[in-house]
Amino acid sequence: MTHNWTSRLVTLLAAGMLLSAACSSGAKSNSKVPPAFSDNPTTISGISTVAPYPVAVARSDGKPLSIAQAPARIVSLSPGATEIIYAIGAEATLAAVDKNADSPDAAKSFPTKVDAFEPNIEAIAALKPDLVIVASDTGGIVAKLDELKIPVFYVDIDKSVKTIDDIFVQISLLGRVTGKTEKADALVASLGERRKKVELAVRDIVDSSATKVYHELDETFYSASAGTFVGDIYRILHMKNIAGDGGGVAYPQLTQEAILAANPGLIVLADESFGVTVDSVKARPGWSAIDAVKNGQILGVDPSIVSRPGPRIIDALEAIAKGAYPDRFK
Amino acid sequence: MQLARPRATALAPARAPALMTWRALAPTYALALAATVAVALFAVSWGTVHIAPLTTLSILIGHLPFVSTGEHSATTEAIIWQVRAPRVLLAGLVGATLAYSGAAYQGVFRNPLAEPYLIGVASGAAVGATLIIISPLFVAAWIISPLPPAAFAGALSAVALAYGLARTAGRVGTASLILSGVAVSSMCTSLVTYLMLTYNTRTLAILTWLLGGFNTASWQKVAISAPYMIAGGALILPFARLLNVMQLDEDEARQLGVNVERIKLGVLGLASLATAAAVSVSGLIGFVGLIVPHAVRMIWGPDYRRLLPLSACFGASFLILADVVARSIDPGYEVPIGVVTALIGAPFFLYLLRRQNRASEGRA
Amino acid sequence: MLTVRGLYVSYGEHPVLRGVDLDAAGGEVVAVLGPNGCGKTTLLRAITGGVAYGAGEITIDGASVRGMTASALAKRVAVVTQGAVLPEGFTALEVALMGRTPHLRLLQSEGRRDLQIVQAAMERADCWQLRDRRVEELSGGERQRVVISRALAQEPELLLLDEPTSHLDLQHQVDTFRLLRELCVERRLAAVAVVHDLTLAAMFSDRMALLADGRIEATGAPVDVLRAEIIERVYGIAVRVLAHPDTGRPVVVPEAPAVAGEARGRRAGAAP
Repeated sequence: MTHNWTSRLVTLLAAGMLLSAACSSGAKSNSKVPPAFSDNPTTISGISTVAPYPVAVARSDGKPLSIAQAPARIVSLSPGATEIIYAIGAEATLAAVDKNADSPDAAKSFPTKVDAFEPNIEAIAALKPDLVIVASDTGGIVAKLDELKIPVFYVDIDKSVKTIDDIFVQISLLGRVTGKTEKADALVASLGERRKKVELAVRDIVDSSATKVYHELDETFYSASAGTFVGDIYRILHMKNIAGDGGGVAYPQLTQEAILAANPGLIVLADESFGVTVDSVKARPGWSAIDAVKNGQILGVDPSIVSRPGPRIIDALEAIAKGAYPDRFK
Repeated sequence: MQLARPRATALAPARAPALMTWRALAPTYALALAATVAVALFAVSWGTVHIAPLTTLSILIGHLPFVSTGEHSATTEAIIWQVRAPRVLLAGLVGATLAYSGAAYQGVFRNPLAEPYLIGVASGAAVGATLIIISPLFVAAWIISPLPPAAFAGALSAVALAYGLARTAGRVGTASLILSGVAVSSMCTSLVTYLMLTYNTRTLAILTWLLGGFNTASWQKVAISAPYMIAGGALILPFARLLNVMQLDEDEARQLGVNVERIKLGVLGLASLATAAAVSVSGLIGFVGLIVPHAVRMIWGPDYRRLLPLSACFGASFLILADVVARSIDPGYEVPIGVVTALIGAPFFLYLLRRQNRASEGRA
Repeated sequence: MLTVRGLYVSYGEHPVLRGVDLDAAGGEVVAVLGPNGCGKTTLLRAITGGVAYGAGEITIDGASVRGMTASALAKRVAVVTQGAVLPEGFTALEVALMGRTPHLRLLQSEGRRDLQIVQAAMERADCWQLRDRRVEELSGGERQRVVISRALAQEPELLLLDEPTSHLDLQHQVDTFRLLRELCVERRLAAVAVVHDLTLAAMFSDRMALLADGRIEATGAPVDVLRAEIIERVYGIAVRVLAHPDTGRPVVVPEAPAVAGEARGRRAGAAP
């Protein structure tokens, strides 16, 4: 029926935005970080010369957020932010996490969970949070929380977290917000160190001999463009992402023809939880012509480390680096 | 005075009325088929990767038995034979099926808004597909994907349910069937929406399936669905003349000796079966089943002996071309085909409608 | 030709026809009359198999209708209804050709012989010149002639007509019935026509049957059936029956009421 199609398209558009959020989590990177804050993640900035509070945060919708003191009851609708909070030791402040949180294990078995996909404002308000972290504004949740005067840490992934540096900025920011600046800075520093190691190991790779890579998000050939934190991994590894700029879309759907024509030397699968295996990729009709298939250069990566803007993105970086260049990472 | 309607009949003398025998129609059929094949060949040679038409032809011919046409690069061969050829063929078969099924549905229901998704095929298929996508079955990499069979089964179950609900005393009134079809479709759609939002890690996969497209077309998909799509069309065509008669009141058709109930069941059954197969391998592509029969009717008239085969050819060409746009307009990236069919189809239909209105104004 | 004996039809619990007898021989026109709701249409539908009947016998040329397939029946009986809906876009010829349906097998198309038969029928019904016109462009009278030629194309032995002219103007009404009479005589058809206009029916029918409350109240020649007292009893309206100056057939006119609005013996719910 024709009128069903309008509603389906609308749902698709809405869900397209949701997808980006579901794949990743919400921590906001922004350019309006207070000047005393260091942009260089590799320096150890344990001593801050400014007062810890208030912390000014610019939300993705431009409205200002000022946090006057360390929050004690955080509701996190963002699996990525949840991971960061655990990583910087602020988990005691969590009142609830979202349904899809699965890392660390403590988050998975967290007693109180809320639905981030279809947020229920009453359920959230009933938890009496003093901060709600939102990764994508589904169902107008941000406006509703504003109405109830609940502080909202609203960071839209697609807009604000496009590189690994942006992820580091989020970690630092959440550290300042929760008062765990030392641990946050230390985490950023150690993640930065690991990244540096990888960068050093591949520094001699020239663009002309860059490996072409196809990063697969699902078996209908959705990929991640260069302008995402996933794409940043490949930039660091001096690889050429065949998804390019995505035609303006962060996570575009590629045509099979384009993949075959691009002839990637490496295929990274982030969709093994959907039944795609190295063997099933090899068995795809026509794919035996692809270099990556011919040379067995197909890697599977755990989607929760590569699709989420959190500290484990460095795990993904290392895994892909080791898988692609085993000789450089003995 | 006579108002001549533009007809695509073969050369018939102006005065003596032309009878629509199969022989008289043969040239029309042949022409339409040839045009469709030409469109298909064009589509296979067109794509973001530029491949010379001669190379394309040579690769295609090389796959005929006992014919060898030399070596081509593995990539070019893969693109032509494993990606484009099945994609174009599948788009053609699905387009043809949706179009002739739409014509059949409009004929049985005698309602211009009828289309093949009316009594539950689309929403039933969606339920079947969704259940597989959210289940552990989706996780195992099978040789034959369980998705199309599940969608097929879902589609047929929904239609059977709608039919069973509408049946009273051995007869199925078309009005009851539409109502029960709407009811079943709504139930299925709600179920799919609920599942989609509950299992939200699978939402994109489900939505992608729903929106439809030929990006994952393969010879396997062609093989499992083509028999139904071809048989459906071939078996409905003999009923074309009776479908004409059924455009009279049902009572009048009965009084002319037509077994109305059996034809309804047969034609709807065949059309639903074929549509179920189409939907199971290409998702829910809208517009084609509703609009193409109307366009054909406006140009070539309402006689089902022309409407059915010409809708099939027109639908095939239309969807093949829409797919070319979907995969080429943003090079390297896939545009949802439902958007393309709507954007191409709507203006064309409006043009035909205005032409029709102007003609009837002249008459009044 | 047509013999109906003791026909009982009910819709659920509600009986519509209670033991109706009717005869129609080849070459004659039988008019069936009666007030609304008396079962006239039901009678026709029972003959064509459109409605099931409990008790009773309907035979056409000796063969019982009950056992006949729709196709066999369609070769013997053709129906003309009032204001038939004709599908848009088809020409008059295409619609008339549909009358050949009972004679064609599934995969068979209309052939030259079918065209000849239809052409003859359309010429007889004076609509052959309309053959290439689209039916939605035709006037009511023209459409009725196309429908009649479609019925003739079936090559029936029996013609059933259900108020075939109620929606037409006087000229077309007269033309239609005149054509009907001529066809019946020429082709030895039997015709059973449900008619509202008593005078028109009297003018063109050989015999009449007056139906009331599911039963035949009177049957016979028009002059015997259309008597003032019978009409008053059945229709509940006072009438005068005059004799047509040329033919002597009954002409029925309502009696003028003495005072406007005063109606003697008007039966509740019945309309003349």
